[in-house]
Amino acid sequence: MFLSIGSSVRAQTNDMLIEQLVESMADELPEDFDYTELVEKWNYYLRHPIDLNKTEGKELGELQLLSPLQIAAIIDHRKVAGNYQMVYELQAVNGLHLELVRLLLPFVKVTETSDLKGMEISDYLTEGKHDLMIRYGRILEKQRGYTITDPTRSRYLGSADRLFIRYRYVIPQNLQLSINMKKDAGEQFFRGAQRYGFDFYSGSIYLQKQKNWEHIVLGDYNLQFGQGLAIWTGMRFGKGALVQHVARQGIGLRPYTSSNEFSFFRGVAATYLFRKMAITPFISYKKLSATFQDSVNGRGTFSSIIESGLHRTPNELNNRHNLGQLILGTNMQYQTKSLTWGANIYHTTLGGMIIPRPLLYNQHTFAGRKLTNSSVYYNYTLHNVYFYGELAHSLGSGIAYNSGLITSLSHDLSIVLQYRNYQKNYHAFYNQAISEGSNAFNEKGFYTGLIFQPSKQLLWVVYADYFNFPWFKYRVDAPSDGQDLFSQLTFTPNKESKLLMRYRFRNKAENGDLTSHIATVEEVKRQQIRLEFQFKLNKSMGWRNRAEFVQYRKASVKEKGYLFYQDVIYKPMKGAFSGNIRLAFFHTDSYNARIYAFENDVLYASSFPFYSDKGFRYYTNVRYKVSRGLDLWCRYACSYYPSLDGLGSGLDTIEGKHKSEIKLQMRLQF
Amino acid sequence: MGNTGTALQGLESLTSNAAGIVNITTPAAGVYYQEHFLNTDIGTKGFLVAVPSKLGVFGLHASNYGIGGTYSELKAGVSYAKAFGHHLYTALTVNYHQISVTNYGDSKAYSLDVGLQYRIDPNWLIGVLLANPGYAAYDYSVYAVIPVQLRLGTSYQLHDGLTLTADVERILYRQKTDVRTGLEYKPSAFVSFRGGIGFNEFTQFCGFGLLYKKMLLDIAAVIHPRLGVSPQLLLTYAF
Repeated sequence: MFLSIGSSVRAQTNDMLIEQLVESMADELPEDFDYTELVEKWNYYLRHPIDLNKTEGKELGELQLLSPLQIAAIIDHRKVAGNYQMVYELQAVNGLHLELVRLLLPFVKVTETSDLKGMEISDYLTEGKHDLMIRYGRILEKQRGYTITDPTRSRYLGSADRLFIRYRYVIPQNLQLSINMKKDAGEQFFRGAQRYGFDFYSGSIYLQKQKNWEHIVLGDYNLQFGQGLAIWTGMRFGKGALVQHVARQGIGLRPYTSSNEFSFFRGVAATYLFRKMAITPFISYKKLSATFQDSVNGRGTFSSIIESGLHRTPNELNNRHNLGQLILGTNMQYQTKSLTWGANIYHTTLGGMIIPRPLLYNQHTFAGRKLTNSSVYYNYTLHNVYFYGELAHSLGSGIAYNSGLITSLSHDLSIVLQYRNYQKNYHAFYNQAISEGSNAFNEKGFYTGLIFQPSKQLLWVVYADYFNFPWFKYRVDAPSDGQDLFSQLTFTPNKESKLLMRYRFRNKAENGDLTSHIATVEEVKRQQIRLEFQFKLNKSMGWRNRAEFVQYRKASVKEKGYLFYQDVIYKPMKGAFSGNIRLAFFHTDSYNARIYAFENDVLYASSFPFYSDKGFRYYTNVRYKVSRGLDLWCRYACSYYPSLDGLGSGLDTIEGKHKSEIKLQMRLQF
Repeated sequence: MGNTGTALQGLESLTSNAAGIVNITTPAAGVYYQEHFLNTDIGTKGFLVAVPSKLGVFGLHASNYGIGGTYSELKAGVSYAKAFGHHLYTALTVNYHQISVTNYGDSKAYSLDVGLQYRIDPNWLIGVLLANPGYAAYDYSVYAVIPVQLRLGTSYQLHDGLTLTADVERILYRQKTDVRTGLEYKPSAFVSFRGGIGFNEFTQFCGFGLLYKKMLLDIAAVIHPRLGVSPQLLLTYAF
């Protein structure tokens, strides 16, 4: 009775999931964090649900909602109890709590449909579905960077408009054509360096299951193997309320469909299946943007690689796409029901030399123009224990490894343990393993997580992570260490309401602020308390309240902040309009006590801004279903700071008390 | 288990809250050794004895902390534990303390501990320990303290073989409250795994126990992020 599934569930799924996932993340996500990839995947599986009686678990892993043990339990259930007769049977699977089953339902099915096989060439052109999306956005107030006309000063050369176009042509289980085009605010359009229109183009052709070729991608692609120590591009999750994310589940080769301008490969890659062995050779060449220093013997030297993808000012344009990167390599993976092991090896050649700025914290970072990476990884399920790990080595420099286990000690208690040790001179360009720092090097840590589910209504997640950095870091001029403690209690008394309480404590070192003769490193302690209440008034209306408090302490400096907001969500079962609004009030002593919160946005777009200083913020988000296959979105967001006369800094400065933004989006499916 | 014994039962509770020996039915004894931070020569050795009688359970716990031949803190305590009904367990411990520093001097003192445990339901225990409420102290010849300590703890047996614990400890002169949690998992009758975390003074604990007939071998480690690992070993026998 509690699991009635209707069209509204489907409509809400994406928003709910994204929200749940993003909010479950303990760390502040970078502003350009892009979960398009995941939303696309979810949308794909909404339209083409995973057959519970056929899956071997890989597709379930791609949803990023389940731990490896939960996936194994779903498959085991089928082997023990026979084929699933209906999706609701998932409730009977060990280790799946109600909330999770509810989230999972729209993505799975038990009916069998025949796969598209034996297609004619002409079918490739007629069988598929087109999906075209155009998004426009801009900040309405004038920012300083657009007003400067003096050509000798730094300024934005393009307009404040943002434009994003996305096109897909999909034949399920068979072929996908993707094209993305993006212009960031401040970038030129059909002018200057962007004379071909957009600043960023990305595209791929993806063929699936062609005889022994499991995946073939021509164009832009992602590789995700092992625990991400050696090679992992695209999206990843870190520490958070979904403790299982500590164990990465690499999905291998997939087309790249996101709009981040750094974390992907460009070229050709394919996965060839030979019994239980999969081999994925890959080749990639793309132009990176790097900070140019000098030219030696006709070859440039660069101090660092820029990952932002922003090319707005003369300086940013000088460095635009100025460093070629060629990557050649292969992955081999052997997989049985309970054991996976694999190995990566790849070689990177750059068009110029990287010579980091001569600062102590840079002493062990990569310098040169060639790098060879290798790694081996495994995961193994033994009874109720899932073991995993990876050992990586950058040839001629350091090693890095991690290893962990997830185990369900009883039906209501699971535990996660992980040890990591990344040497200070370990190098990899596409390393995204679990770490406290932004990349996995110069770090040791031990992570303990606990998931306790005493009843269907109550979920308690706790983790404690201790880490230490053997060498200096940016703004930490000494070896240092710290802790990250997290506890979250979720109470779901019924289908309509949910109560969440979160507490988090973090302690990390940072250079002292005092300008004395003796440089000191101080402890920075942050505490966060979050209370949230969600309630569904009826089938189409819901609301959500949050109160959040933050305290920041560094030496004698003590600062605090709070945020309150009220959301109203309107999502009728039928009808063309749906939408949501938020009104937030915030007051923080400083930027240090800023508070991050997820905001609803137009489909595929993401907002995870921070609230700082004193003021109000509100937004409205409206979706209008014009007809079958045609949707329109509109979003308006505004922040108001009564006690300020100028907002932001540098080129983004706005004179006034308001900062507002508009987004318009159209999607056409046919 | 994260040094959380205030609401646990068994011979080992002589080291944390003597009220926990109240349900021992046959005499038991054990010895232990802990090295404080590897390669430092600082160690604690001790032994435990519990003897049930008609009047209640009597316990003896002696330990010596220090550096061999240089510094030694001896503590020997006699405990008497008695149950009142099926829910309330109490214990009184009289301790003898002796501190001696070679070529410097020594000092003696007596202190008293009071322990309580209350069984809320078959799986749930809470405990209180008040150590040295009389503010017993050494004389001024040595600079050392007998801590006045208040510990509150709880343990909950979630299922057969799975126990969760939490302790809060306040040591008066330190002005600091430590919170610790622990977990014990017994997948079979022969082996158990334990782990825990101390929060205020971040410390991690892990260990395992092997049970063979009446013999228990227990190996554990306390991991302090800066000071390193302190291994410990306990061997007990129930007659």
